Amino acid sequence: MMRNDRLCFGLFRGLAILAVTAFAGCGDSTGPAVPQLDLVLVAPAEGDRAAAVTVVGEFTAVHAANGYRLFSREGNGSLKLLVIAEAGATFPSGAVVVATLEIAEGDDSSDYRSYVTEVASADYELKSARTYSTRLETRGR
Amino acid sequence: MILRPARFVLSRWLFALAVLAGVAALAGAGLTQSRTAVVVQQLAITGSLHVVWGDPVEGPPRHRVFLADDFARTYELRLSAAQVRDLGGISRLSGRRVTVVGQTEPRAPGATAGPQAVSVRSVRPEPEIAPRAAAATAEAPVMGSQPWVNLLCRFSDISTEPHPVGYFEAMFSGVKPGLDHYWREVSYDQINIVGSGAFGWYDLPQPRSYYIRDTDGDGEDDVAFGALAEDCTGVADADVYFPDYAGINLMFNESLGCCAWGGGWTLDRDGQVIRYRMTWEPPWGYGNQAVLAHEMGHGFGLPHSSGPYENTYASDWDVMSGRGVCRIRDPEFGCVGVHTISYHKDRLGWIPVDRIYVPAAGSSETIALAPLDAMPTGAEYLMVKLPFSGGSYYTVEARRRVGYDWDIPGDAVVMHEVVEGRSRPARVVDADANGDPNDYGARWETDESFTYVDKEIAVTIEPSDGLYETLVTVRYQTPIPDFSLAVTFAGNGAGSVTSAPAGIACDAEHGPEVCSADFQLGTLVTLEAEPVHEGPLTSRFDGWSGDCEGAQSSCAFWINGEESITAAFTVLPPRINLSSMVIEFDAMHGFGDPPQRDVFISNTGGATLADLSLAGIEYSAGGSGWLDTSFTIEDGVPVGLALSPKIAGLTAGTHSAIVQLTSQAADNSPQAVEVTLNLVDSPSSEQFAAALLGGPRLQRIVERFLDDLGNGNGWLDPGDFLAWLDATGAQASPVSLDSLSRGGK
Repeated sequence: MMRNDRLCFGLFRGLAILAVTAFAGCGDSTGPAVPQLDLVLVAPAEGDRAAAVTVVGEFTAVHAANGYRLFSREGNGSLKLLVIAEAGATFPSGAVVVATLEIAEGDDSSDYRSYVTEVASADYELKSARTYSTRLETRGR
Repeated sequence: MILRPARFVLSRWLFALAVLAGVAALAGAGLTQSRTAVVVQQLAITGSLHVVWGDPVEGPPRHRVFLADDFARTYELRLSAAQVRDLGGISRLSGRRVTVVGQTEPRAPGATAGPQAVSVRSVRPEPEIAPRAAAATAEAPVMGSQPWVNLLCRFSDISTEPHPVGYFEAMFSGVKPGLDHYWREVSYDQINIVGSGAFGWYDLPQPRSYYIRDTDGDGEDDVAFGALAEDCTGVADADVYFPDYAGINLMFNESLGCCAWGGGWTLDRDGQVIRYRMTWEPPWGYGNQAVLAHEMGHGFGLPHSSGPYENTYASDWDVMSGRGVCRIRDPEFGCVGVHTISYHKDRLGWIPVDRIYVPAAGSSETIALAPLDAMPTGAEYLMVKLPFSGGSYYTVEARRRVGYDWDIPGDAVVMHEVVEGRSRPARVVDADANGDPNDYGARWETDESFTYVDKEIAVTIEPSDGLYETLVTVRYQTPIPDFSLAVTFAGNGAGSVTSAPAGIACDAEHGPEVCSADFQLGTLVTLEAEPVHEGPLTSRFDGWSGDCEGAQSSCAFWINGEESITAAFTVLPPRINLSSMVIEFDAMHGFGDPPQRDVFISNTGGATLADLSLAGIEYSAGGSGWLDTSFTIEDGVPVGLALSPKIAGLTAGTHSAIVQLTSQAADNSPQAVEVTLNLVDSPSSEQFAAALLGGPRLQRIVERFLDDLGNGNGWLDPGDFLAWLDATGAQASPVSLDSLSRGGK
């Protein structure tokens, strides 16, 4: 995680009760320094390997979770992602974090939306995305 | 998805030029035209090979290779050393049926006669068709009646007749040293030439300078073998029914360049196309029985033998080398040939299997060897074969100065090292290595031993036991243990690795694999790596590492123990062809009976598309085939071909080829169609992803290509992208929007 000195400075000034926590977070750089959202993909079953996901909102950065590769394109207030499970792996059945999105300070995470548009199986066949869902979770929640 | 049509058919004038080129080439092959051919023609020919060996009075031997098609049209082939090697060596070419693809060579100024020379691009063995040849293949035994006809032909400007017809009749008689008598003894009475005849002298239609002249400017006269064969048999045709004979000796009244010549030729005489054994003899050739026997030996399919030195003709143990020492000349027939060696007799099928001793591994046995000049009546062997590496072996034979062997250097056991594939497969084992394969170093006598590799193989000449003259103890221990050669594949590319000698033959697709084979110690192994092209994807060979290193596609090394070698291949981003690869030819006509004929498909468009292939020929009558090969079509049925170009190594841009369809029987052959590849670089992973995520679209044909590479469902989707990533091994880019990020950062 990157250290964000400007954010740390604001925390010290406004919220004394959180100062210790924030200090600790800034000092060892192990805690979230910027608002982050986890993109959670919910698959009905395992066996699929690629998904096209659209996330509505403004983002400052995007990172792939372990075991996944991302291709992304931003525009018109949304982020379009291709999420690829690494060779030999597939999406597990159920929920899994596939990416982490950084948003600007002060943005309300509840304003963000995401949905799956296309899914492909490990043998490259295009599949229905209707049985898939996504959600955005505030990092560390 | 419909391909944008992009077919280019040669204009009428160009097609006419191609037809004219074919006519010119065929006329050249007919040997009777007196004009200079200047048109280069692409050819694909199926037929039988002839090797014609030339034996000079002095100097090294020559050989020429010809291909005769099923209509007796003959071409002289320019084969590379690798092509000859791949066919088993020059000594194994005669009679082989092959398909050759190549291009004609322009005739030298002033060249008037002789088969059209063809520079061979590829040659592929074909299965033998039903035998209709007087001359059998190099692999077939020679047995029974083998009559030869001797045709005596005078050049039109030379009137001399060196010998009367009666001379030749006597030379081929059953009275020693007549050649019927000779071949009966040499073959243990398994062949004879009874029925041979002599005819002439006939006048050739042309002077000697028409047939014998320096056409290539190398300072040595060249021989128009085909013209001599056609004209000499032509003038004798009224008197001779050629199908009655297995061989033809063409006797001329003046020298034929450097040499006396022997081999074979295909003739269309008396209504039959037949492969004949054939020799071309100058006066000094038929002036010596040994020379004629030597050339007839070539006619029977025999190569030369020699000592272990450069001089082919130094071994006096073999009529197919020095022929004998000629200590006493026959007053009428000059030098008389000695026997041929056991390797040659075995090759022609004259030594029964139960007269050949092949030791079992781990054995040590004393056997009796009978002299090679006569079939033994007792329990002796005529020959010992001692395999020592791969297909190579030593022969052991006993020789004595009896019969036609009276002119050999001495009574002794003689050994040869036989390595198939070289021009002189059998070479005398000469212990003193003094350059003389006839002296005592080559004669193995009582109490002398030959050993190989630390006495694993040993041959000891024992004293006579009074019952058998020649006793030999053969020690043949358990072969030296083999060692493993392991080949590992590395990289994300696909490729194959093969070995010579055979053993390794494996491939890998995008992942490490290991294959191995065992080889004998001291074996020279050559590995050959070839990237595999999978549809539009190509791989690159990146080199060898381990016990053999380098970037060349082949790597040669000696087996010195356990060997481990890695071959690395990398997949290359494919280039995409934007052009249609469907081409059509007009129906061919004039096949006659049968109405189906083989046609040949070849790429004659030059080097840029040399790898153009037909991944699956589909034409209206059904069937399949490949480029540079043949398939059968019906008279009057149009031919459509779906080409699958191999674009490995081709740069982006346009590349053209001319695909030619040739039938030897059709009126409207050859036909040519130009095809053009328009290659573009494949998109980057980012471009591909952007197209899927609402960014700039790719060209429609590129989208189709990528879809075909993936799931082929008609549009571009994440499944296609997934396939693309897997196929190309695309790697991650730095983390940022509009680019690739990779998990784990």
